[in-house]
Amino acid sequence: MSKKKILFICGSLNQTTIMHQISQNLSDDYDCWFTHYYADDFVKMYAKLRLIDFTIVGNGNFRKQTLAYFNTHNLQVDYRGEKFNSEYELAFTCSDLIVPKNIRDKKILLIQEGMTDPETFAYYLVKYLHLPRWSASTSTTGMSNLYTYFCIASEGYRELFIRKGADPSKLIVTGIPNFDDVHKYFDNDFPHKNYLLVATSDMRETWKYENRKKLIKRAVQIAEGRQIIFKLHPNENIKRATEEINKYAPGSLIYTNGNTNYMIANCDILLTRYSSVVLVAAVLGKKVYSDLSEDVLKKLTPIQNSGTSAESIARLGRSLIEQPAKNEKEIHEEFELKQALSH
Amino acid sequence: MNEIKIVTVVQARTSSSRLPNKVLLSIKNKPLLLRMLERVQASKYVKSIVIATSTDKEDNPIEKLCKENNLEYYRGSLNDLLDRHYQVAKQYNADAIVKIPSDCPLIDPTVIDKVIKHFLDNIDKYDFVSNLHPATYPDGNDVEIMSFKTIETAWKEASKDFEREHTTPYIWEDKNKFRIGNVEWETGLDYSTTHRWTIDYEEDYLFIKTVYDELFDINPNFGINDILNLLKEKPYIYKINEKHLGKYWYENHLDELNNISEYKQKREFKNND
Repeated sequence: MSKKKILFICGSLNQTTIMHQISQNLSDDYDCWFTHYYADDFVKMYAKLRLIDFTIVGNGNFRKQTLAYFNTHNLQVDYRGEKFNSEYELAFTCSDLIVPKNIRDKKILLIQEGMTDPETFAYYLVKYLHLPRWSASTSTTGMSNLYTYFCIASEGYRELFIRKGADPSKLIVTGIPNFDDVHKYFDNDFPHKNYLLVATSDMRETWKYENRKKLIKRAVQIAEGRQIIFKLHPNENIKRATEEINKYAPGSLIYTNGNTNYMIANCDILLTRYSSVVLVAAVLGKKVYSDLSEDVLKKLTPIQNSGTSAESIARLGRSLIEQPAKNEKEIHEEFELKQALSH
Repeated sequence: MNEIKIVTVVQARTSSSRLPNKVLLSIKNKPLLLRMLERVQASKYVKSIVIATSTDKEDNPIEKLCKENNLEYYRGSLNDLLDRHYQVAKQYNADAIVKIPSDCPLIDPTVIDKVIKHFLDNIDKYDFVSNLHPATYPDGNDVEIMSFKTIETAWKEASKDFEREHTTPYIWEDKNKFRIGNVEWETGLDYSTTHRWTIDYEEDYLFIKTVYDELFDINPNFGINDILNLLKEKPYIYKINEKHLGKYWYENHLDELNNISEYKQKREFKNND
């Protein structure tokens, strides 16, 4: 008898690695297929016209990196889930900003990929005027309620998603794979230590306003003579960012690639705007300067499961396929309460 | 003899392709250039120091740093370092000029003293004294001193690009025209190609930073022996920048330079090793 099929929808490299980790706990018993992020109707057309290459649904770097990752890890690809669409028992995704039509009749596990964007004016337009969720970026994550369950990072995020309109019964605090067991990052080969790390964002590349000069000058002020290391966002205009740094903070080291988590582990202080890196820094006890207050960050900090979050999420997926009769109460008991008691 | 006026010139720029802004990297919460100047100022013979940078706008941060720290500075040609040094010598009415590059943040003040003293003790005997021809000290202890007349002659006559860029080759290349003196390390050892304490690469920065982190709080004026003892005690520090050992600017001008036979021999020996 052929194995049951599961579809993993990937996007950014962060999302893709999360999906891959979950699939590794299922691939012995299930037929796992992967696709990059996709959309329907006019968003699909925008992607075709190369108008949204800076997003995960476009044809830009995100897609290239994801396809390269599939290739490197010999993952089975079913583009847009079209090949075996009728056969998928379950779909995993890290984003519900767009929920493709062809998975809406299936069980869907939404996995929190990291931090969500701040609630800007666009967020309120979505919330009150029902504009498409994608128009407010990840600030609207979880608001679709089109998923079966939403696996999230912490109790703080449960509060946040409920406030935004997510169905409380669908939220399960499982921890999230790429922000679990972060203490392992202390064991690294990044050569520098005791510096101020500035993790930049791609806000400007995604049509948002950012006063970069102000950020760099703040870095100089906070550093108090410490070495400053800039880790540029992979989606960023490197030339422009480098020129700005050399102008306002000469003597800084600039990294365009490398393991950001290692850089966080070795720093004294992290400065960033609104980025998931603060979650790692918070767990590692670093001094963090960001758009989030220390109290809020403390609440949002992902729970640590010694690296078992991916396995736990996979077990939830398995349970949805094999024990469809399980009700929400049983699911919560098994995947939250037991987990909480085990800590 | 009347006391002669010695001006020490520390050349500095930000535009390094291998490690941009290297003189502004942080060592113990201060820019590397300031840390190095602390060591140069510890020399008994160094009284007047001028930071010689370029007029290139990329070097504005160096001017800013000098202003903030009340340091004398001069801005001149980006690529004609000979002119930069000569103009400083002229502007400050120097009788002799000491050349120390800004990529030597571990320079030992006692080495600076030895070279200057050797020049002063033999003022009628030498036009130019350094510890580089042949080099024996760990790389990163470069000191050259010359009379004003010597640098002026070089400034007038040197025509090749590398002679202008590297300031002194025109002088030490012509032993018939100039009287050249040299200070060798009194230990009799030659660590010039086996110990790299200069900064061109990120690994060099890490090495220098580590040395400072280990020694500075114990003794801010740590010297060559302190560093060597540290490396003996913690050999992993030596390995940080080991892959860049023996890299000199000479490499690009091997066919044009005559007076670097010792360097060529060491290079040959290293390649056959």
